[in-house]
Amino acid sequence: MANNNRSNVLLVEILIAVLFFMLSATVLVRVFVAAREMTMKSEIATEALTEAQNVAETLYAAENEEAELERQGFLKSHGVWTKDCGEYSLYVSGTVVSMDAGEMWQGEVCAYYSQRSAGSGVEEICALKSTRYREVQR
Amino acid sequence: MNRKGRLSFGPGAASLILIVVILSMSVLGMLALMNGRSDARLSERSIDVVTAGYALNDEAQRALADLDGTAAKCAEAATSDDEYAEMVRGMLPAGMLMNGREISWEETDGLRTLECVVELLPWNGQQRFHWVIYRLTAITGEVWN
Repeated sequence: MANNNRSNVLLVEILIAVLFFMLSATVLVRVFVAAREMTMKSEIATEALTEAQNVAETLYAAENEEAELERQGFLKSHGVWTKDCGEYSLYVSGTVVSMDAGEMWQGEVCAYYSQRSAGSGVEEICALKSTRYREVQR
Repeated sequence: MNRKGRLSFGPGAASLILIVVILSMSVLGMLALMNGRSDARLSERSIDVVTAGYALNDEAQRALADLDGTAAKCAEAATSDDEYAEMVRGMLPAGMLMNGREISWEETDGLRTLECVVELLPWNGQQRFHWVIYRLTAITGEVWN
């Protein structure tokens, strides 16, 4: 009789333990998923920032900005140059403005998470100002 | 009769194991979350630093454009190199200093400073300026050339 009672208590305890484990596992899995998403997102942000810097520096050195963007695989649409890089997209807008004694390239290189990494909506990663003044040779 | 070596699984053992497992998993989860957060903070910080650097570059380029406009006007009016340099010295845009033929100014956002120095080239040359110093300095004293 005592042995039977002991087995029942053990069974109930194991059942409660399994239930509690399932509840905890649900919470813990969400924590792990959130941590992984954060890490992935920051990896994408770092990669996008490096790529945006590369584009901005290339534009700084370029004689013809539009030709350089085309060479790098950007596509022009409604005055904005875009490039899909998988997890993020790059957007470049800008124009050459005539100044008193020279001309200035005034642009902006922006990176956004693509839809599949951002979920819903558009989320900006960075926006770098790309400006270069060039003297007009006498 | 010999109970040695017999594994007994009585009431309480399951709870004990469960507590150990849940605690270990919670610690690992918290560590993973902290790691993720610090990664995110680090990338946000580097984005801020890089963005601020490019914003300062933008201001420096605009200042150079102002200076070049002034120099071009002076070059048209001057009749000699010395006169040209003196005219540029007299018409320098606000915030710029001229030492010899070097013109210096700083762009700052409070946390970092971009030190800019250009050299005024001879009056009858092809170009008016060339960069001598272009140095980004953080407030901590770090120098990012």
